[in-house]
Amino acid sequence: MQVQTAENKTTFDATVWVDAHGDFLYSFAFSRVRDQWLAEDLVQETLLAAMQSSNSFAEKSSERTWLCGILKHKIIDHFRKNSREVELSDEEADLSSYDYLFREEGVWKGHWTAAARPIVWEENPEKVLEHTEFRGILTHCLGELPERVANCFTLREMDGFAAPEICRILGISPNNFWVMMHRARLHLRRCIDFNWFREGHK
Amino acid sequence: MANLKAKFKMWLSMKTEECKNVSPLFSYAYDRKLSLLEKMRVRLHLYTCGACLNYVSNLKFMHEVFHAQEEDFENEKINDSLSSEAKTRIKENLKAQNS
Repeated sequence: MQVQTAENKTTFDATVWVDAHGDFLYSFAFSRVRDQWLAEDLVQETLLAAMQSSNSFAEKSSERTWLCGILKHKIIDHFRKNSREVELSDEEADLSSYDYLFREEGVWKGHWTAAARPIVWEENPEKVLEHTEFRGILTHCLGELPERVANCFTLREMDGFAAPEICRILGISPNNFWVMMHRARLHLRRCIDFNWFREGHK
Repeated sequence: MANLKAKFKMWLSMKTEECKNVSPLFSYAYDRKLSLLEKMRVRLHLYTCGACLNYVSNLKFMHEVFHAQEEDFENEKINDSLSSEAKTRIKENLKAQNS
């Protein structure tokens, strides 16, 4: 898109972005923060920032890619701010709330209990995303985790950041990182299993 | 013979590591390289434990789901949308900011 310095032209461009890219940016933001209002705010902040720096837009990338790049920074800034405001609690890096998944005594101590024993999931990972209900379960299950743990998981599994980068963003130690990732996976697996695979949605 | 093998596996799984202790390794494997010792612990455990085999395949499923979700974004396939109220509000705020 041609970038004009004339004010009225810039205004026009910015509101056009809402219709052209608003839904995409919102969907992306929502997948990361799981909160409608926050996702809307992030979209608005992104477009405001884009409007003020529209001359940084280079023709070589698409407008959407450029806007999404700004949004990604906004999301990470939000995670960073959020982590600074909330002290790391023992609860976040504590696995004892998952002890119930494993047998407490006997020869099979430390092995899965009958109720928690993982089963085979007969579903196609790409196809399953087409179900609105499944996507709702993913959002719900991520939302059950403490926020920083969910953010940690999101940065790793969705954005593909490496551990040291995530530790910097969230202000956590490498050890916290490993515990949080394990915790997130234990929880999500259990939650998806319970809500989708054992409820007979197939 | 098959029966004997099953019995051996069962005995081995009682004598070897608990699922609770090995399970973090299944997660770590997605985020870093496992040491040789860790790899051996994983392989020995999975040899004897069907439940953990399922656990590992469930983790793989979840990894693939999130990967597929990102691919959808790359292909501009989306499922959510801004409400019309939000669109109007954002447009107004953009205009206000610019004037």
